[in-house]
Amino acid sequence: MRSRIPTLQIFVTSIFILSILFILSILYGPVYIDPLRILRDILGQNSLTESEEVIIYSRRIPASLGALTSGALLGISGLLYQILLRNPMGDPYILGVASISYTSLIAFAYIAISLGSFFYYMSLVAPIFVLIIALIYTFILSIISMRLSILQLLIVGVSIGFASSGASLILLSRLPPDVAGYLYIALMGSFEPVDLRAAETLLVSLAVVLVASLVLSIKHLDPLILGDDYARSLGVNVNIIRLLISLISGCSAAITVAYVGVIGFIGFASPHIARILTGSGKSIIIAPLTCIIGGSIALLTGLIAKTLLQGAPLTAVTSLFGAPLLIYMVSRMRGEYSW
Amino acid sequence: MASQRILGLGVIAAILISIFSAIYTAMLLNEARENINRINNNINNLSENILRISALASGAISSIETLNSSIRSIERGISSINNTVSSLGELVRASTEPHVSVKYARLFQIAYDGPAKIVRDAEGQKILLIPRTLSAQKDIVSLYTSRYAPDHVIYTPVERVILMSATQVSMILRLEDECRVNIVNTSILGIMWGKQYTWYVPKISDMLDKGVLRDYGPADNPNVEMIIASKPDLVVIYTYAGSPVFRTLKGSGLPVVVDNEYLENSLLGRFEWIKFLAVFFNLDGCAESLFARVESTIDGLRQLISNRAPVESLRPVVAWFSVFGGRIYASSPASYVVDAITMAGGRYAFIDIPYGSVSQELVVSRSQYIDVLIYSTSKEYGPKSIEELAKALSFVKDIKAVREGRVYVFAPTYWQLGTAYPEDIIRDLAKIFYPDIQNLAGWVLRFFEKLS
Repeated sequence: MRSRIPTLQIFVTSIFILSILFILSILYGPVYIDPLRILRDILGQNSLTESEEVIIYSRRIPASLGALTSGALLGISGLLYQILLRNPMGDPYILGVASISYTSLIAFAYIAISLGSFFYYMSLVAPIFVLIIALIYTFILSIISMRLSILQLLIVGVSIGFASSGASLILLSRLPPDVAGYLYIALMGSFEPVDLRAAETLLVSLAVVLVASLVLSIKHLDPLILGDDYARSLGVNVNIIRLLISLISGCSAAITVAYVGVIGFIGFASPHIARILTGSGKSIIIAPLTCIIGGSIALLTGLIAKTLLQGAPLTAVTSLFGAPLLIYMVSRMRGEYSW
Repeated sequence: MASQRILGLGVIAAILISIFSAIYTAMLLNEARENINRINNNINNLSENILRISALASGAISSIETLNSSIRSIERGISSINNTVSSLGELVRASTEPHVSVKYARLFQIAYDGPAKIVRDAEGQKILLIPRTLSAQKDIVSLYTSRYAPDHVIYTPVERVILMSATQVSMILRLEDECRVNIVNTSILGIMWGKQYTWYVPKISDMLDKGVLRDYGPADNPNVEMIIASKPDLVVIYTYAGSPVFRTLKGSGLPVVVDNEYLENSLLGRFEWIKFLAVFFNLDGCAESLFARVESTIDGLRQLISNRAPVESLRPVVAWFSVFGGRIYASSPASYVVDAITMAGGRYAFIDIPYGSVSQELVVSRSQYIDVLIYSTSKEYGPKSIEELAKALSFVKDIKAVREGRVYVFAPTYWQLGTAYPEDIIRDLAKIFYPDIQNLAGWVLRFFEKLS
């Protein structure tokens, strides 16, 4: 399968769309502010009121950056998991990062209650706690991945996911109903909590992940898809590469869960959209394009969620709007889709 | 020769003595035989007499049984007359007892038909309430059941009640106080608690600790077998979308009724559910007079506030929300919260936002107009100070209320007692909105706490 559109054109168009969506995400939100005044203020003309400045610079720009970076991180995480597991159904949460994060959030709620300062700890400390637990889990899983076959790794990860989901339900059942209700939807994905500091963290993470992925994709990722033996025959240290892929993809997923919650579909769909557009399976092309597409989907669904469907969980919006898009793209393909 | 003579005389004497003895013995035997015959005859006579007496006794017993049966019939007749008198008494009482009228609540109805009450609960169930004194009157009971085809028939006053929520408990406690009756100790078996929250009502907390009130498990997953084993004559629950508890309890044949006062969108509508509970205890009149008094108190407070702030522009703008995971949980314009704010002389900051879908941007855009912020949790799960609030939620720090220190949270008793004391909620809010209002100068906030 090969696309008739040149790869460079696809990249340029994608970056253009990403930029437009980023700008739209700043110009439009739950509160209407004249877009021209926003643009003039960004360009230095001081045309916004004080509260409008707070909205644009303290809320919309960080949230838009958060959407862009977390969408890109989810995309790259999904791509790497699909390569690691040689499974086109791979997504950032397939090995249990989301479940572990959720369980750790609920467990932290108990700690916060026992410390007598639920509000303070849940507001300020919980995201850091969730991130640390998710990173520890990712690290352990990555070490294990060196010793297990792909199928074994998949079974272990999925089973841990089920177990932690069960633990979450038990822990939730012992909490007061209103607290349990809040926790139930706390991780359902939102870009609103992303402030400047969180946006910076996500941006730095994306830069590190993207560079690492590009380095790996030069000669290590593509052979891995064709099998361990083939990769070894080309001089790839399969165990080390698996460890690195596991770490990068797991950390990407963990960081996004900690800061924006669980947002489904982006990690699964972005690599496939990139492959369908380019007709290529080469990681060096797919990886950066996946980031751009992931960021675009996140910005678009974030814009829809905050303007048209206020209050809806983001993961619901991405799935509802993204799935038809992917189905349409797959159905329009000629020939067999080989990822 | 002499000795032989003597021997001979002796033999003759012995023979004569023997003959006389035999004759005498025969005479004695004969006499004895005659005596025995006489005794036998007497015994026979006695047996006959005994038989006669037995027959007479049987007859007497039969007569006594007949007499007892008659007495029982008479007793039944008297009982029936008593029941009829009670029924008449009940009818007289029913015709003179004040009836409950439902003015504000939308989710339940009460109708009266002689001594019976027909209640429609929040799930649309039709419940027939019949006075316990009429429960033996099968004809009366079947008359009403055939007329109304109810989902449940419950005899009042109920005596074995299981409750689900703390608000239902608080309503019962208020009825106890108002009507000077003992309900919790005598008629409440227990609560579906499951230790999911702390009780701030010492009486209930104490009774639960001592096991006087049983804990039937958490409200979202109660111990159904324990409930069935307790044989309640009334189980009061609340329901929400997707809750299986109602189906489970009703399917188990339990007399379950649904009290969803939390879904009412007016403050008095929520409180009016006290009448719903009262009718099961035959406290209709008491509940009606209590409600009328509370309504009158609130009307008085509204008049006071209206005098203090006659035009809308003088009324403070009030924001009422909490935040979790970056998501704002604000009250919908059609909620009891907005009703309470309005009655207490405030203006809700997000009255134009449907379903309470308030974003952080919206809060920021209206920051300078918000005079009072009520953060809708208690300190247990909410901020303990304004500094903590502003640090955790950066978007609130520019709210005028935060800058001026007019931020309040719920007191721990808000959720458990607030519904049963709406007039105190209005007093609290009026005091918060108008600290200088003279008639409330001595009023200490009951359901809210100011953040320092």
